Amino acid sequence: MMATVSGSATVGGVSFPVSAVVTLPAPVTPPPASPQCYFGVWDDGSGYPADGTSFSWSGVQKFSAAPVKSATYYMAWLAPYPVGLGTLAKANGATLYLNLEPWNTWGGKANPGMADIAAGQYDQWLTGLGQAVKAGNNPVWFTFAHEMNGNGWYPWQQSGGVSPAQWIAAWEHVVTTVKAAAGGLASFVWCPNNADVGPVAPYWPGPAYVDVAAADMYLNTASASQTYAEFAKQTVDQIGKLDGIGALAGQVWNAETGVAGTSGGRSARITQYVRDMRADGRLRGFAWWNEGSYLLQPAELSALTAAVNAWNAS
Amino acid sequence: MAVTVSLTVSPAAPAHGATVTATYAVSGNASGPGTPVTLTGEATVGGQSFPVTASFTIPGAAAAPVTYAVPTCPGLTFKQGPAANVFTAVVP
Repeated sequence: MMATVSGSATVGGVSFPVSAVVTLPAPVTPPPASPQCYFGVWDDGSGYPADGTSFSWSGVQKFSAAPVKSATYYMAWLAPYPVGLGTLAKANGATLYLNLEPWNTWGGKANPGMADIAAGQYDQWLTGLGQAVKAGNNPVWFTFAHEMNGNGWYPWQQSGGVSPAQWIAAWEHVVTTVKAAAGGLASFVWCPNNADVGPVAPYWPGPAYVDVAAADMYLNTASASQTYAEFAKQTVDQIGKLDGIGALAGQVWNAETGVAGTSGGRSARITQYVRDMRADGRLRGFAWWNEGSYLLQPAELSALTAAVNAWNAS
Repeated sequence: MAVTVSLTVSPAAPAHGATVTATYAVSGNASGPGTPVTLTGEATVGGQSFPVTASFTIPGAAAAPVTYAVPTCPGLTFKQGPAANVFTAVVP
């Protein structure tokens, strides 16, 4: 589609308006913002292989009482693209959600510096990821260096010596490089941690570099007795105030979530948490982290999938 | 010389994920050349006249200051590029 780029230069106090025409590609259709819950799963018991080359859908399959739309996978830096998981996702009507993590570098190589990423040192790998997405012919969601507003658990946080400006520079480069090779099939999920650990705004790169605004919002052990409104909502509120956020503010994805184990009653808390997210009206869904203290027992899993189905029916 | 300003966009038909570069060009705003001049005079000493001259160059006009607005385009968000007259945007 044709679009006009407008600008002006001021020479000696006199303004000269100018314009140029550019032909932009048709907009990528964003993931559906329907009332359907964009329900994703990370399940560490899936048998995801250490060699990154062969995959099982069994972990995701546990949640099949509700429609699973996304399968989460965490990629070490320079790891091979999970072709097999992409094939399974496509066959099951789901989208991969690939977390690019700039550490634990594949092959025991040195971890990357954010400045080196921004400077293009890893473009060959990033371009390869985009090419793999294009070859797979199925949309893929990416995030990169998530939970960056946290403090102390990832080296790309400020505790690791990475400033928000450095993080943004690396983010923009990763987004640009992967997308340039992905044939319009790659979307990028901007994903800070719940805002109780730090404000999200310093890391906002602007809407040109974000397809889905998200956050990892657990009812974790620090908030075991709290509700969505008391703990997670603050993050959605902050996202809604980001510069230029626009329609993305009404389609926030809870990209990692879980309800920490408590002495009984967790099924009811899960049901309430999902119901509260739906009632907020600004969330498009969530991805469940099924591991560790968030691992669901059978009755809890049934409660979760029932809550997703209730979301979809509402 | 009249001042003119133009704006070019490259590439003209970018793909998703491509970086679009908008570049301003200003012409006619070069500094003017200096003008050589010669002063002539005369001094009379004891009734005798001594004509004298001196030459120098009057400096030309400086180029006018130029500022550039951030370009706008539906669907694109331009940011400052590597030079003051260059702006870039990523095609979402």
